[in-house]
Amino acid sequence: MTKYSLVIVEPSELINFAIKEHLKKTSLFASISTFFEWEAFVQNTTRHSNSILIINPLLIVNKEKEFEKLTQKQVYLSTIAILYHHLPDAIIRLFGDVFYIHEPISKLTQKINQCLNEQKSNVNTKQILSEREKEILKYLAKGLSVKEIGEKLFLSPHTVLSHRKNISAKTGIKTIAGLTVYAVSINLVSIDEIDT
Amino acid sequence: MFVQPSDSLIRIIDKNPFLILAIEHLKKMDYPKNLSIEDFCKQCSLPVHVFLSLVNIYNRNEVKLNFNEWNNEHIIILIDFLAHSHNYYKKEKYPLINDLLHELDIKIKTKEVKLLKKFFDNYIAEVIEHLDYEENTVFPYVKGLLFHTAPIDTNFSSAVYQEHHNDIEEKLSDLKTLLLHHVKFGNESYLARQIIFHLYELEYDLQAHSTIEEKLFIPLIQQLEKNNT
Repeated sequence: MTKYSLVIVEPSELINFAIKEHLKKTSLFASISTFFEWEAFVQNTTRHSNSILIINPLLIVNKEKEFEKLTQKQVYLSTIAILYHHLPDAIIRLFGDVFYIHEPISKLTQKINQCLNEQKSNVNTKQILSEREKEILKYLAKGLSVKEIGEKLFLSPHTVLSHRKNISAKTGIKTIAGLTVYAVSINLVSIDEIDT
Repeated sequence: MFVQPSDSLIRIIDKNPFLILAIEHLKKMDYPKNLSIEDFCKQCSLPVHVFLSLVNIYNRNEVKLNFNEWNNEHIIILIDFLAHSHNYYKKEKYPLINDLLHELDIKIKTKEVKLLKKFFDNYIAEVIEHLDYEENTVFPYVKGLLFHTAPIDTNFSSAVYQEHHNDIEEKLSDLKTLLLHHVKFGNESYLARQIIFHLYELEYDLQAHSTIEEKLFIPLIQQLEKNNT
């Protein structure tokens, strides 16, 4: 059975503790780490790949880029924002899901289960890449940057990155060098087309 | 399993055979193992807290660093441990995997395996660069801090360290995934199986190695730097 790890980053000791104690009872997680600040979390960022990150979005204000970089790198990381009140969509968009603290806590467990199921289906079932993903993989293997691919396909870098993340989730391969071997193995590109 | 001083060494090895790697990196394989941890450490003149920190990290437990327990001698033991692990990677594990991949490449001759071999060559080059950086820059720098010898100029940065570790682990994980899921081996699956087993062992040790550096070694260096200013 896959063991998942949970990380809670929330400045309120009370809320942090309450979430931890509630989720401990569910036995869903092999480990639960808690942090009160973003910096402490980044310094001790977990090495487990299958994880859920529950975080207060106020902690990443002015650090959105850093947050995006961190979450995009970890393919099997799902993020849930803890909200005290409504926040602008620009911030909400950065998270996989949101949980308002006035909602019943069972809803949080439900959202976590949803995230874990998505992760499982990404890992366990051999998923076929969509045509768009294959196209992007082909360019990645040829050595094009995310920005260059975006320009070629008229997509924003954010969209290209999101496809790249899906490709990694479906194949289980995270690095460009690894994806290149994969692209050759499924005949998307020939060896002569790639820069080794 | 969280290892305690009263636990029997044989029993904890039985629960997690990878602990043999930790004992070997401490160069204590020749000592009797049918003892409690406390007695084993006494026999081989090893501080119990150092041994416990290391084996508990190998057992994937969270280890809390207590700065007061660590004196200069203990930090030297840690450096020797890390240096010995480097030897295990550079002189034993990587050459072994490299030879097996080479054999696979000769026998199968597919474009995937050829690329896989190249992927591994590039990965090794990257790892060796990181290990050399530690041996030639970080370890002498820390010894300088310990013995108050002439300050060594270094651009040591714990963030760079972590970044290197992540890259190394990701590439190794990709190699494993490619071998397990995406590359065909025909009649040579025994070679693939051997490579995969070696990769699992290597991955286990490398993960413990990174955690030891991130949770023990780097905070200890930072503490030394603070004390020296």
